[in-house]
Amino acid sequence: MNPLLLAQTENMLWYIAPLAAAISMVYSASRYEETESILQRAVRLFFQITIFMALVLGVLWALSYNL
Amino acid sequence: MTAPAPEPKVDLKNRYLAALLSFLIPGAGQLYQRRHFKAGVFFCGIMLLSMWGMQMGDWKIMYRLEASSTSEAQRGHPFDPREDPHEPFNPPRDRAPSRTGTRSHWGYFAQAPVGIFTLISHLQERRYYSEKNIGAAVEGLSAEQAAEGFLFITDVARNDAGQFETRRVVVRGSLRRETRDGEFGREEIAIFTGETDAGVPVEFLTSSQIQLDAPIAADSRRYLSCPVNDIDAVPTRSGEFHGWIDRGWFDRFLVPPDALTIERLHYNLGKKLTLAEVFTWIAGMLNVLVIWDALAGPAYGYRRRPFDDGDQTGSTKSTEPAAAGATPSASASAPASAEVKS
Repeated sequence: MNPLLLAQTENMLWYIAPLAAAISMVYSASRYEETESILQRAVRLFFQITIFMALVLGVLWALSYNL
Repeated sequence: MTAPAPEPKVDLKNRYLAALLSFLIPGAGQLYQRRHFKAGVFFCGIMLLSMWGMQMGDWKIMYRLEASSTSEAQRGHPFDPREDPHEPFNPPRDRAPSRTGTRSHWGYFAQAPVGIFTLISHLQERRYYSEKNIGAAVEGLSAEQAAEGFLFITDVARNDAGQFETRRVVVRGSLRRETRDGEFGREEIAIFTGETDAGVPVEFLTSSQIQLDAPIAADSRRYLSCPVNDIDAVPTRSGEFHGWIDRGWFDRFLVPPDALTIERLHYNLGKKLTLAEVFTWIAGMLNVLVIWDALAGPAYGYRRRPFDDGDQTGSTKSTEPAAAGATPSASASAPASAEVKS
């Protein structure tokens, strides 16, 4: 695909960032009471989700290569 | 070996009331319990996901009953909007919508834990399926309002092929309601004043036989159809106006969409519609955790401890599970720090 056209296309992958951030914050806040603990766990969970999703994307991309 | 420092107590106040408040508005229960940071996190996180999802889905994705694939509106009308989805037109519906043929929209059960939207969608469902939600005639129009649509004009003279030619003109303007003396006494009519999409001014009288769509529906357009007379005083064989006026925000917000509206949503949004639904599902599921937090306190305890979540190092060193004589799993299993005052 033309790179210019690709850049103009709305990439739905960007939705993962706010989604993962909201999930991390809410989930962590339901686990602990102390603000520092909530934030630490939320940051860690955010990266866990993001890395996991990136790995899944990588696997799917590899499996669909040249299809 | 020193004893672990006791964890601060969390005052849950009336926890059942707090849970109810959190169901109604995410974080409201925590606010009542004076847990302000968590209240803010829950409110912002869940409302962001819910509202964003619903906005992406054009505010039409939260409904309990899914309409059947063929609606009354689709049958027997000269226009099939699916032929040209960029210029949609739903024929006005003159009967109250029926629950016959509807089926459960399963995604709703994931969305439902966000109570404020659940209650509104229930209210809107009742209004939508009410017997009062039927089409109206000219009296359904307000004194003056913006309108647009398609004007179909059939010329009085035959064309070269010997047929009466019908032209379709896109018009935008306003509809003004008036009472005048007609052939059979006083009658109410509406006058359209506006211009075509080519910028040509146009004015015409609608007959009193306006068919106006029911007031409550998911579509932001309230459709109307009527025969028209005196199009700019040009003699015409016949004319019809098929257009729409704006539907009030509360008459469409979280109202169950009919089959045609759902089809159009799929056409216009594609996979983004699924993404929008996923956002609202996740928001609903997260609010279950929020309700539980208001009811029973934080799930793992006041603060993070070593070995929580498989963390081998622990980020805070306030307590040692071994010293407390409790396994991490045991300490994580109950909201030990919650002090319940109900």
